[in-house]
Formats: sequence, structure tokens, C-alpha cells
Amino acid sequence: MNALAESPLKKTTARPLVALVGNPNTGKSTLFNRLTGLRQHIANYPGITVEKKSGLLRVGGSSIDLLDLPGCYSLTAVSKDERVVMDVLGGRRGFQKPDLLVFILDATNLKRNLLLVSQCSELGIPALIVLNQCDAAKRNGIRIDADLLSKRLGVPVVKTVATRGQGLSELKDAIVSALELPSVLSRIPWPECITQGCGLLRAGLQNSGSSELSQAEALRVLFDSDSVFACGVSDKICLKKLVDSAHRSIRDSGLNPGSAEAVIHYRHLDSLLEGVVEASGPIARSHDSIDALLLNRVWGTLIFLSVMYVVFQSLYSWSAPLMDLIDLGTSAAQDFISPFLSSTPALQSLVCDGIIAGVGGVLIFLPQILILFFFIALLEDTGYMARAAFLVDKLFSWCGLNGRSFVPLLSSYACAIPGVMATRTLSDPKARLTTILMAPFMSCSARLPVYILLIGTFIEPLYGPLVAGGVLFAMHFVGLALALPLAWLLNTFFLKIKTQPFILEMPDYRVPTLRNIFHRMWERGREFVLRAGTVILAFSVLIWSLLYFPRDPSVEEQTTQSFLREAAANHSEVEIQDALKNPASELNQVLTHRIDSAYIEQSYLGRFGKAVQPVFDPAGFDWKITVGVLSSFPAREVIIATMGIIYNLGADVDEGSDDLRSVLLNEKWTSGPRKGEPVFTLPVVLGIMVFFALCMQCGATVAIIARELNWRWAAFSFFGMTGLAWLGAVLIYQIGRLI
Amino acid sequence: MLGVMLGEFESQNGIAACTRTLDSLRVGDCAEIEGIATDCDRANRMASLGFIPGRMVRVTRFAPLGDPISVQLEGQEISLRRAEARIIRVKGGAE
Ligand SMILES: Nc1nc2c(ncn2[C@@H]2O[C@H](COP(=O)(O)OP(=O)(O)O)[C@@H](O)[C@H]2O)c(=O)[nH]1
Repeated sequence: MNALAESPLKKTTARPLVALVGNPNTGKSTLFNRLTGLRQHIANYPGITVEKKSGLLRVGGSSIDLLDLPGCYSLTAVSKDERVVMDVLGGRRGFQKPDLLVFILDATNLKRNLLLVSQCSELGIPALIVLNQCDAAKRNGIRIDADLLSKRLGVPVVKTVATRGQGLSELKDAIVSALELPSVLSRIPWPECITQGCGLLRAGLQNSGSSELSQAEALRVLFDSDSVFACGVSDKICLKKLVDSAHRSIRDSGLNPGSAEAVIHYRHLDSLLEGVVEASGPIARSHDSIDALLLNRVWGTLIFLSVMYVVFQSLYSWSAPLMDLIDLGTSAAQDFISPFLSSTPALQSLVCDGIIAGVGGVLIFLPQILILFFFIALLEDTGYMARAAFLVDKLFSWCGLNGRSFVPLLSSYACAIPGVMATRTLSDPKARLTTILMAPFMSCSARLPVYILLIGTFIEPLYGPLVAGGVLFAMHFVGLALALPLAWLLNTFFLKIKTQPFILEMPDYRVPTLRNIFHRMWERGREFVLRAGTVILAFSVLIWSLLYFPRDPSVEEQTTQSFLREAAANHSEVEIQDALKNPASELNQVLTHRIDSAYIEQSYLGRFGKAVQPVFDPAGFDWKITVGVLSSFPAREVIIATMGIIYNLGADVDEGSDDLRSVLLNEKWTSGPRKGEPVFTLPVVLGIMVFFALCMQCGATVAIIARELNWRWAAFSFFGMTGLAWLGAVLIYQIGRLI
Repeated sequence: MLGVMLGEFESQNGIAACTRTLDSLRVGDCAEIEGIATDCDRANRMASLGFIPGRMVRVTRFAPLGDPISVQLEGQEISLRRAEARIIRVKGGAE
């Protein structure tokens, strides 16, 4: 057939589609960024949470669609990432089949990287090979004869150094000419038993009336019990019989059907690479001596702890000034806009307390996200991340997580949002899912004010600072202590996803490039603001409206009336009139706080809180605590301000406020069987703290989980944690009452 | 037989006596991979990573808590858990 006639560049209707394929850690993203610049688009593949990165490559006058496929080691479709690769390469499920595959290979580890190429040769899609990291290969004394490799593979080979942009223009030219004059990979000669098995499989399936499989698809079904192609076959029993008989014939010729595919490919590659790769003498392995230190039982552990300490400190403390700045900016914006809208109080409150506060509530997460991804990019790019995972894997393996869960969980102690986002570094979907679900259990910094308020008010005065410190410390471990066994339960009994072997490749140590690091930070920050941010903002406005409406003016009148009656007992008429005219007077302030409090009580959320108070009664919560707890579902840090309003102190209280503390100490039940008794007894206080420790009171976390997994898991996490929190508070209160 | 030709020999009986699994090696031990446990869904994955018969592996270290272990294979440093190392049969001895 005439290759030119088929050339995709000649099509005027659609741009040609070029897909980048390769193992993880080969420099695929670096190359993709170099090729597309910032003209790229990140989305999810429909229905699943695998990231789809596409961009536009302009060469000369033409433009080409570039697709960055998830990194994978082979076509064995175990993980979702690999499934996507299979779907795209097979042009299945509505994906457009690429016109050209660009394989990005790590030149320092050519044979292993070529396995994927060898597997893909069956697909018959035009291909181009890129040997990346040529600088590292050279340093290791590896010489590669690109021309010979090209001749043996049957497709062009280009050498690049992605980090420095070397060979980039050659690559662009090669892509254009490969699109104009496509060439396909030479196929691997399969042994008799495999081709026969394939033939029997295809014939058998055709006879049973299932859809026809190509040779490439039949090979996948044969070697890969989870193959996406097997899912398409309707008659599963017939399929199993056919596969079993093919396996038997493979076994009869002395091969292990489990490993036969890789064995055959590697044997083929052994001969293909003869004379192509030349390693001069023993490979200089710079990282052996570094590993001896960094992975040492004592020193390695100490270095690991110090590195993680720095990561955590910067998330926890160093982000504070930036967050304060955003807070300041938010209130400045509120103060600035507010006067313009004073004629319409509802709109004023919507804009200031709903929208601006909501935007501020989104931006406030940015410093921690950016700082965390700075460190993640740094740790990944230097090669330390894999070592860190190696060191701590055992701590997590028993409950279905793995060593890569450490950084996400640690960051969740500062804030669950960056923590959940950091789970992208876990390639095993099951471990990633579990890590995401466990992250909100870690005691984030927003829980601290509640602990400090309650411990400072009720525990420290009674039991002294030592016990208080101990309780504060213990509160930070309640979540973790529950989360790990829960993860084990979830993994052992509920999750039906197959567990994957946890295998880490220790990459060479490298000097990271700032360009790469900043790109990662920018990418994640932008994604958070645009995707999760909108949902968080919507939440914020929703909760604002529940706290604001119905806002019946009679509430204000009645509160004022009763207040004036009360005041008349102690003050003269004139005094009261004067005080009301002066907004700064004490009487006026007290009145304002009472009105705010009455409005909260009368708001939809306040009414709801009163209505569901019986639910929280077994935990000893009165309606005020219940409303406080409910109103802090969008963000737990608002609890202090809400309590300030509910207890007539205004919103400007903090966890150290003496007024708030004395109000809490003196708060008594006003009705019901416990009338006259103090509300905040020790079991209630402990119950509230445990409730806060376990509850998912963070709309932003729900939104980010929905974004990283889906809404169903987000709902599961939300209701599950709320249920647990309720149970915890009830148990503590009930046991505490008995003692 | 083809299997022998490709360097992989599936023993149905016999030589199991001198066969060990990768997880039983000590740090510093070198051994030749003999095969991967049959009918194990992880076999394909391990083999794709390069754990194929005939190649040499050397155990470089254990993690501080004893698991996972780190091995050298074709100049690559790879870490795997003992559970996975157990499905890889090796022969040949210590250093
Ligand atoms: N020495 C060297 N390092 C590279 C080269 N290309 C990428 N890297 C590094 O390899 C690591 C992985 O790159 P990345 O693009 O994230 O790989 P991906 O996982 O394949 O997308 C990063 O630390 C890069 O800085 C290269 O040509 N030479």
C-alpha cells in the first residue's frame, strides 16, 4: 500500500494523534512538557480517575495532538493506568487510535524498557523510538548504536536528553517524517506453541459466536487473565476452556505460561541488542555508596526522620505566614467591598461571608499544596522517594497500604487536602484508595484549636499541665490508631480490587531541575484551584445560605424588645437611648451579639440542629453544641467562631479567649431531665474532642476525595467517618457517666 | 524441548531439593533465577520486570524492619517484598 496516501498529515479534517508511551520514570513528562510547552490540557479519562494529559505540538506550519499515556512497564493490564494504555492503543471504548506511537526509553536500562516496545510490535501501529537520558547512559559507560537498533527494530531511533532539551528539534522532525512516511516495528517470532495457542483461541471464540479478536488481542488474553480484551468476550466458560487448553500446550513444551511471554520477549531482545549496547567495563554505579548510607539501618532511619521532619515542619509552620497573608487579604477584600453593598444586607452577606470567604477558603490551602508538591517533586526527582518507601514499607504493608503512603499520611497531619493529592505517587490503585480514605483521620492542624480550647478550659485547670499535654498528644493519635486497623478491615474484607506486588525500582540519584519542580507545583496548584476550588466555593455558599436564611426581621425585633426590657432593670431610659446611638458602647455590642445569636438559632441550620439534637443526646450534646458541630461540617475551624456567636460573644473569639472559656464552664442545661446541671462535663468534653478527631468536618476534603476518586467514595468516607465520630462520642459519654 | 532451549525448565519432579526461593537468601548472596512459581497471577508481572530464568540476582540489603528486600538484577536495583520474593525459585549458592 502506498504509505503516503495514508499519511495522517495529509488529512485535512483532523489533526494527527501522537501518543507518548513508556515505562514510569523515563522522562516522559519532561519530554511532553518540552514538546508542548504550556499548551496542555489535563483531564480525567471518562469514568475513571486516570489522568489524561494532552497537548498541542506545533512543528513548522502543522499542529499535532500529543497524548501523554500513563507510564507502564508492560501491557499486562493490572492497574487502571495500564488499562487506559491498552484501551488507547487498541482504539477501544471510543478512543481514537493513535497515528504514531513515540516510545520513550531510558537509555540506561534499555532491555527492560524495550519489553513494552516488543509487546506493542503486535499492534502494527507506526512507531518511533526515543532514547532518553543519554547523558546518564554515557556517564554509566553505556554506548548505544542507534542506527543498528533502528535497523533491527524497523523504525527510526532518536537520542535525547529531555532535561536539557537536547535532541528536541531532531525529535520533532522525526515525528513529522514518521507521520508522513510511517514505519512499523518488526514483529517478534513467536514459538510454535504460542502461535498455535493463539490460533486455536481465535478460532474457538469465533465458533462460539463471540466477537473476533486480532492476533495482538488474542496474545493478551492468552498471557493476561485480567486482560481488557477478555472482558469483551461474552462466553466466559468457553473462554476459560480455550485459554486453559492453550496453557496446557505451552506447559507441554516446557514453558511456564505465567512467565512465558516475558521470557520469550527477553530472549528475543537479548539477540536483538547484541552489538547494539556496549557497556565499557563495570558500570560506574555512583548510587551504591549513597545507598549504603541512606538505606543503612541506623543512619538511613535517622536521615529519613530528619527529611520527613523538615517536610512536615515546612507544611505545618512555614506555611503559616503565607496562610495568614491570605486571611488578611480575605478580610481586607471583605472590608473593602462591604460598604458598597450596605443597602442590601442579604447581598452584602452573600458576597462577603459567602463568596469572598469561600474564595479565601480555597486559596488558604494553596501554600500547603505548593510546599508539599515542591518537596514531593524534589524527593521524586532526586530519587529519594523510592528509598523512603523502601525504609518504611513494613510499617504499612500489614494493613494494605505501602511505603509510599507515608508522605501523604504525614502531610495529612498538617492538612488532608495536600495529603490526598499526594496519593498520586501511589501507583497501586488499592493502596491509593485506602490511603485516601485514611488521610482525613490524621489529626490536621484545623482540629488543634478545638483541642486547645477544651483541654485548656476543662482539663488543665483540674489535672494540671502534664495531663493536659498528654491528652493533647493522645488526641493526635486517636485517628491514626483507628485508621490503620480500619484500613486492614477494608482491605481484607471489602475491597475487591486485586492486590498488586509492591515493587520499587531504585532510580539513580539525580540532580533535580528547578524547571521540573516548578512545573509540578504549578500543575497541581492550578488543578486544585480550578477543579476542587469551584466545588469548595459552592459548599461555602450553600452553608452560608443555610446559616443566613430565613432571617425573619421579627427575630431582631423580639430580641431587641426583650433585651431592652432586661436593660431597663439596671439602666435609666436616657442611658439606654445614648448607648444604642453609639455603636461602640457596651450595651450596643451585647445587643448585636444577642441578635447574631438569635439569627443563628432561627436559621435553617439552627433549626435543623435543634431538630437533630436528640440524635446527639446520647453523647451529651445540647442544641448549642449540636449546632456548633453541624455548622462546622464545611470546615471544622469555624467551630470557635460559631460558638462565639451562639454564646453571645460575637464571632471574634479565639481558642484562648477567657470569655469563651468562662461561658463554657458556666453553661447549664436549661430544660430536660438534666436541668441545672453543667453541660460540659468531662465525658462530654472528651466526647466532643473524639468527635472532632474522627469526623470528616471538611467540605474541601470531601471535594478533593470526589475529585481524586469519585462522589461515591467521597460520600462513603463522609458518612462513614461521621458515623464513627458519633459512635466514639456516644461511647465515651456513656462509659464516662457510668464511672 | 523449547523450554530448555529458552533457559527455562519446568521441573515436574526431582530437583526441588536443591531449589530455594529468593526470600531465603541472605544479604550479599548471589544466585541464579531458576523459575517463577507456576499458575501465580503475579508471575507475568515479576517476569516482565526482568525476573526470568538464567539471570543472576544478588541480595543487596534488607529494609530496617526486615521487609522488603533489595536486590540487584541486570545492574538495576529493585526492591520487592518477601511475599513476592517467595514465588521466585533460585539455585546456586552463597557468595
Ligand atoms: N539525567 C537525565 N535525567 C532525566 C532526563 N529526562 C528526565 N530526567 C529525569 O528523570 C526523572 C523522571 O522524569 P519524568 O519526566 O517525571 O518521568 P516520567 O515518570 O516518565 O514522566 C526526573 O527526575 C527528570 O529530571 C534526561 O534526559 N537525563
